[in-house]
Amino acid sequence: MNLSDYQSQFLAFLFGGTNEPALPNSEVYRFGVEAKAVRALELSYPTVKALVGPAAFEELALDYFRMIRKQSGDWSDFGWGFPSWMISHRISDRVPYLSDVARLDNYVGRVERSQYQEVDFESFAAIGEDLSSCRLILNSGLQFFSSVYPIVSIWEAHKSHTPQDTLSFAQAKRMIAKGRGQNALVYRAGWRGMAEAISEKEIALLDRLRKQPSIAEAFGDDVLNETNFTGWLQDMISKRVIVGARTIH
Amino acid sequence: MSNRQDIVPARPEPGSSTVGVGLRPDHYQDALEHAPSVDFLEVHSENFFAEAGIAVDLLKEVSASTPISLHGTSAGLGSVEAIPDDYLRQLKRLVDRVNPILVSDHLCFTWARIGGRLFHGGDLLPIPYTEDSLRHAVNNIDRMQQALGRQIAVENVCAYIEFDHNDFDEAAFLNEIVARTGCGLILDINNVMVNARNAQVGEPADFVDRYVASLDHSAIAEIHLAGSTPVDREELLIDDHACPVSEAGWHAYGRVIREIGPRPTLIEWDNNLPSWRKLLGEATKARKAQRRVLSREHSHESV
Repeated sequence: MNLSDYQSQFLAFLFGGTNEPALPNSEVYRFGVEAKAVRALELSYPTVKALVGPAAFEELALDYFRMIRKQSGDWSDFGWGFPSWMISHRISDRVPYLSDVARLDNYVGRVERSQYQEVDFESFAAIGEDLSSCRLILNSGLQFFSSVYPIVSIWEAHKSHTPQDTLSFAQAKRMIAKGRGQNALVYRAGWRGMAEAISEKEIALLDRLRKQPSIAEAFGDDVLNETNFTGWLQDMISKRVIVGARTIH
Repeated sequence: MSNRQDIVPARPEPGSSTVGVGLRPDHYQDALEHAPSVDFLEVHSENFFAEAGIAVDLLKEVSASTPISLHGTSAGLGSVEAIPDDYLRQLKRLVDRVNPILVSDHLCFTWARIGGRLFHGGDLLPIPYTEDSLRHAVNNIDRMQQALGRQIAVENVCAYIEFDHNDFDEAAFLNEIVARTGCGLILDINNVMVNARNAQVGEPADFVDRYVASLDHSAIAEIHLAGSTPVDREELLIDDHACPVSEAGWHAYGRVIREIGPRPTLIEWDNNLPSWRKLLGEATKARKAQRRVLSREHSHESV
């Protein structure tokens, strides 16, 4: 066997593609890599693990590892496709919101590892009387999405060792019973990724701001006189969701 | 094709008797508070590949006061496949961020193609010591040194499998790599000991001494010390870095630095982590071992 074939076959064995070890003791490496794969996914998807328990999580993680395999040198990159992959896994029949919760875990991790912009306070001086000539700048590291499940409450509850005792758990239960979902805004406070539920109106607005419209287009000509808007803007600036304003030329 | 003459040596040169410890997430807070009590800190490069975030900020802060040794676990220098550009780009960004005293990785493979697609094995996978392996290792080491614009060091690994055919023994293979690429070496004493034990050689201490004696001493840039959880005689010993350096390990270390002179020495402890204080205690043992050897040499000179 040439060197290239040996290396390919060894990896195929590690990923479970073949049960025939390349050489005696090869399974030592397979056990080691599988343990690392499970550990990497545990770190990236703590809420998923809390929801399904350690044994089911390990089984899920190993199914993912054997099917998708590892494609990058950085273990923290491993598992970025985990949320969408699990939609077609049998576990989603039992826990239908698992993929959306995984997506939220993934976004929280992504926000923690990305370049999260600082607020440029002076730039807000660009907001003059003509609201059609300036726009608000959305933090490029931000994440938000809608789910038909109460994912933020589920995520929040499972930060506790006893999720059943939390208000978020009770809220999630009520919302699932009523078939209600949540919109998640994922931002960063200090180094920590945070998620909070936002209204339909707010997520539509953030979506609109991504397309970089003028303030007048996004909110209307008279928006600066609305106390709701100034309160919302202050909140968004404090979370570094909105990080500045810019004149449109 | 080697580019030895183009390689810029690692800077700044670490003191030959410096001692460092591996910095792992559980000890980040301790490192910020007590970092000056070690000569350098070693981190696994890939743990800091992120664009930003707490790990990156912490490393930047720690590196302002304590030299950093960047030790990779994923480059796969012995892969037939070339190290991907994206990996080298991320490593270069990290090197530029922390200006490490040393950049290193292992003599193993990690990358391979299955059905035409490139995958990563996620572990330090062994290679046979053949001419073919040598050619690929030299290419990848050259490639990394060129990408970083500096010398790297290559570490010997534990191998739990045996190959039917080798053209070199491990030390000769490493020496050949040094000669062809101008890279440095990391001598991991525990890895040599684990390999000796698993091969059930008669006198493991002699095996280690012969191994070290046949290495190119001038290339050894760092020594690694670690412990392995003991297992029954018939079981395979795994290099798990989960316990203190063994007595046999300290004895071997003493013999090594008598043979080659003191070198920057790293205490590796990756699993079942002890307290920061206990870890630093291991570093103190290494310092004492160096002093013992040095003072013995001085007393011989004065005689």
